[in-house]
Parts: sequence; C-alpha cells; structure tokens
Amino acid sequence: MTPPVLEVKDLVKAFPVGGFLDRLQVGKGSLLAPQRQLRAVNGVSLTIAPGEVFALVGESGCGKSTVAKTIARIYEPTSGEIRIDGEDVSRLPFRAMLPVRRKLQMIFQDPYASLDPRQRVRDIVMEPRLAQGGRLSRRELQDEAVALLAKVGLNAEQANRYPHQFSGGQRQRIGIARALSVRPTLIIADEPVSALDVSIQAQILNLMKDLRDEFRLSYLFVSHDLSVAHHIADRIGVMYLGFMVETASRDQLFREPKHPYTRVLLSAAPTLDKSNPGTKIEIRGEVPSALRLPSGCCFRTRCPLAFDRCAVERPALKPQADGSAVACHLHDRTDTERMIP
Amino acid sequence: MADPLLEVRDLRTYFHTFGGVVKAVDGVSFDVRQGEVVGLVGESGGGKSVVGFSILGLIDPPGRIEAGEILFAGENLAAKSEEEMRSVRGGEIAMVFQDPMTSLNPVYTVGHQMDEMLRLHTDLDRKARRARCVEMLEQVGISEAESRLDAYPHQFSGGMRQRVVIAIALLAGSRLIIADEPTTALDVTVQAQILKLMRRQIVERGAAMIMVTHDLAVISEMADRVVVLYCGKVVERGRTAEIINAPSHPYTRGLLDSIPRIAERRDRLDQIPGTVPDIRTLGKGCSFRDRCFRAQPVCAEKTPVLSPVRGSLDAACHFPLEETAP
Repeated sequence: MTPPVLEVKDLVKAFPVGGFLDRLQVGKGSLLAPQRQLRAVNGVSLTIAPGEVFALVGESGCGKSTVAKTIARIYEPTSGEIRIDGEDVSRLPFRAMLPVRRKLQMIFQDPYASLDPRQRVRDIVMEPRLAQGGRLSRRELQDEAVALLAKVGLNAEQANRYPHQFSGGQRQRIGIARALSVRPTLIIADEPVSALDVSIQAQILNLMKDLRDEFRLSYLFVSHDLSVAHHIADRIGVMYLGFMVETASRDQLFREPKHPYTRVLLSAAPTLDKSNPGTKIEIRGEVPSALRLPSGCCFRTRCPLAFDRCAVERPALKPQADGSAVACHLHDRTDTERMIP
Repeated sequence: MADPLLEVRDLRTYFHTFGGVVKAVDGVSFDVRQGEVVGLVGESGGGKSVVGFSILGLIDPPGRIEAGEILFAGENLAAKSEEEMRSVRGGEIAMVFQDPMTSLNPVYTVGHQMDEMLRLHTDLDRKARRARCVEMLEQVGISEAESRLDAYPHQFSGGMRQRVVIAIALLAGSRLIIADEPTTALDVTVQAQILKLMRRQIVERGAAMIMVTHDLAVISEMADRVVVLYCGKVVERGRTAEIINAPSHPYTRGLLDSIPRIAERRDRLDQIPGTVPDIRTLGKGCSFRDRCFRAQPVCAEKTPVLSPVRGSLDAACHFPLEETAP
C-alpha cells in the first residue's frame, strides 16, 4: 500500500485565553492569575491516502478549521504528530517548513480576504513559486501564471487585473490557481465554497474534482455543509467540540451513521428530498463551551441516549468491523446488548 | 379564497448611484395569505432582501420606492408617511434579521428590548408587560426566562439570541413576519430547532411569514409558496412542491440542479454557466438569457412577462420547461 499523504496523530491545540486582569482571582489568601485554556482540538487523528478526499464536518466551534490550520502550521500544535509523506512536521521551525509547503497548500474560505488587493492576479498566483526560491524570468512568470489560470478557467487577459475586478467565484478560482502553482500533493481547503452562491458553488466543486483527477491531488476538505461533503468526499470525519466522534467512508456514514451526534446532524440538515420528512431527531440545547468541556463524553449533555458511563469515561475512537471508527460507549462492546437499534 | 393579507403589486425599488440606476427590485408582484409562509429565494443580488425592506419602508437614500403598491390589509404601505410606518413596524409587521449578533442592542438587557416593543405597541402596565415577556421567552424555548430577562445579549449564544429576536418579533402579536435569512448564521442542529419554532408560531397565531433566503432546502421544508427572484424580477412563482419537483423556469431548474443532493449522488453537479450580470447595464430582453441553455434570439429582443404555465406555476420565460423536461 502506498504511504498516506497525511497522517495526523493525537493532535491537540489549546489556546490560552483572557488577559492578565481577566484571569486575576483571589485564592488561598493570595492573588492568582491561573492560565485558562480553550481546548479547540482534543486529540484528533486522521490519515489521508494519495488521491483521497477527506472531509471534516461539524458545527461552528467544533475545531474543524483549527485542525486544518494547525496541519498547515498556521497555528502551532500544542502536542501531537503531523506527518506529511512520512515526515513529522509538527515541530519543524519556520524555515524548515518551506520545502514542506511545496507539498501542502491551502485554499481559504473568504475569497475577499485571502487575496492581496494590491497585487496583480499573475503575481498572486506565482507567489508560492517565488517563495520557494524559484528563479524565473519575467517571461516565464507570465507564461506560467497564464497556464495556471487557464487550468482554473480564467483567461490570459485577466492575469493583469487586480482582485477587486473579480467576482467571488472567480476569486476563489484565483485562490485555487495559487495553491496549484507549486504542484502540491495535498490541498487543505477550509470551507472553500461556503461564501459562494449555489450556482457558483457548483462550478467550484466541479473544478476541484477535475483538478483532483488531473493532478492526483488529495484534499482535506473542511465544511459545515453535509451535502457538499457528501458530494466531494471519499471519507468523512465528524467533529464535535474538538473531538473526532466518527470517521467512515462517505457511503457508510450516510447509509448507517453510528454516533448519535452524526445521526442528529444528518437528520437536522434541511434537504430537498422529501422522502422521509417525519424522521427528524429532536435535539435540545446547544454546544457547551470549549472552556469547560463536559466530563466523559463530549456529546453527553445533548445526547438522547446518554447513560451513566458517558459522564465518567471519555469514549475513545474505536475501529468498527466495517472500517469506520466511532467514539461512543454504545459502540464499544463486542456484544450487541447496548447497540443502538 | 380568503383575501390576501399582503399584496405586493408591481413594486419597483431603485437605487440611484453614481455608477447608474440599480434596479434592485423591478416590477415584483406576489401575495401572502393568512397562515401562510411565502419564500423569497434567489442568489445574492436577486433583490430578495430589498423586497423585505421595501415592505417595511426601510429603504434609505439613494434608494427609493419608485412605483408599485404594497397593500397590507387593504392599506397601501408605500404611500404612508415615516411617522405612520413607525407604528406599523413591530406592531402589525415585524422583522427578523439575519444576524442575531447585531440585531440586538448590546448595551440594554434583553428584557428592556422586549419591553420596548410592548411599551410602544400595547397599553399594558409594567407588571403585565413583564409577565408577557417571560411567557414569550418560554414559548421560544428559553428556560429560566424570568432571570434571563435581566441578561445582556452577549450572555446568550447565537441560537439563543435568534430566539430572543424571534420572541421580540412575535411579542406585539404581529400579523406578518418578515424573516430575512433567519437561520443562515446558525448551525444546522440549531437551525432545525428555530425553523420548527417559527413554523409552529405562525400556524398557532394564524399569522403569515415572508421568508427571505438563498437556501432552497430550507424553503422546501418551510414555505407553502415560493417566489424566485433573479436580477430584481420574479422569474417564477408557485406552490413549493411543484417548484421543487418540476420547475418551469430554466433558472429555478439550474438552481436546484446545482445543489448537491445526498439521495442522488452525481459525479458532477450541473452548473449554471457564467455569473449574475451587472444589474445597472441590463437592457431589454430576459436577464437570464446569457446563462440559459434554452435561450433563443427572441430572448434578447423581448422581455418575458410572468404568465401562467401549468398548475400553480407562473413563469417569466419564453420557453418554459415541460413537467417531464430532462
């Protein structure tokens, strides 16, 4: 088997929060300023094979974007391993990351904020190449930029324009061209279509699929939209409150979701298909704060099936017989005594 | 059939900018009946939000309602003065905005903001108002309502804030609620709760709602009838099920086909080619023609008018799609 493009093990990212004054409190007769931490990602593991699209889904605040940005080393991981083509890059200093970035590029959510408004499009798309120390003549630069833009459906004349002259969908195409400029093997896409209208969203999703086939790319695709994830992904990981609660192949996940949260998420999403309207699973309340994680299972406060053990013991992500993995005590046992009906 | 609660007739709202006149809403007509949810859908720039704002008279210069009637229970809102409109807003017609983070005032308590609505539109005394607020918060699913009234908006989560906004909209017993992307900023599990709540409140009160959204999936679950807008014009309207299952306008069809569906996975999504044209430079003819797969020379010559196609569907198209169209 070919080695995975990306292997993440027990990734943890915690952010210190609050200023010094916010944290001040009196304890045991003296003034203390304890460190408070927002635990955004709590031990996430995942692997992506060459040419595979892995989608991370979940609601806002579940840590899916933080995982993506930590893998790209925009955030420093608190602990854990990030292996790209077998090499652990989680502790590499800035300069040593440079060659790694030839293999890994990122596409951002907001096509308005992620392009420098003062650079021409041809310079934007060639920036990663130049950062890699590429020495190119003016002529070569121009030709390469035009070739890249052609790949994403923009024409040569547009290479000399500035970002504000483009619509949201076109800008996202520029962002994709920029990511492709160093011929990466892995592209991390953080909600690449959520800022776009549906008709434009379809264009970008189709383009990303075509490019994957053409360049044998792997994607780590972050999305809050289940139907988008279903459309593009081979495998899907569902996150909740910084934990990976379930990973499975796309078909498995949608045919037979195992974790109660996955079921809730699937049933809550509005759809055009009115095949089974009456089957919405009721769920109460909202996501707890990441500053005070619940004891035991992260989902127990909202889970309709929670029982005693859930408050005491944190379930680990355990592989199941069918190749998926679930972090739920209900799926922990080999016997079917507690299996969800 | 009962008289419509709201009739919008040939509404035209234009914005006079330095770059030219933006015809954000250009001849839009539709009805809303009691107990009904009408969905306004379309992509950004379609003019759907401006319709909602026009009904409430919330159009600021350089924008202006140029023509058309907005008949609410027989009265033309478009002809009312600002003073008169102030008693309509929040009273007879209430609005729920997209962003629950900004539609509440951060320096007043939630209770104060709810109370304001009752102070302006009812003559209940202080105690009765307070009791009404508590009752309303409980109805929208906020527990410990009594103590939550004294909390500030930042102490609520996004979903809770949107519940408060909805509670405020429902407080004065409005007969029409205009909801502009009410759940777009919320997560799906919370969205499901809020949609259910809104639907129930509308049905129980016999009120009506105009739901402005870009999300056809939400519309298909919420609305009784749908009005599809493109470049400020109604391109299609009709019963929700008919529009979702067998649209007659190529634009509606394109919108529906570009949504990834879980039940039927296609390798590629059918995309609408191109982008929305610049609304300032629209000439005569159909504004969708450059992106339309059925466009003929006549589409550039003659602007199609909204006319009955089949069933409940009206479409503005020279070549509407058949029910069994591929």
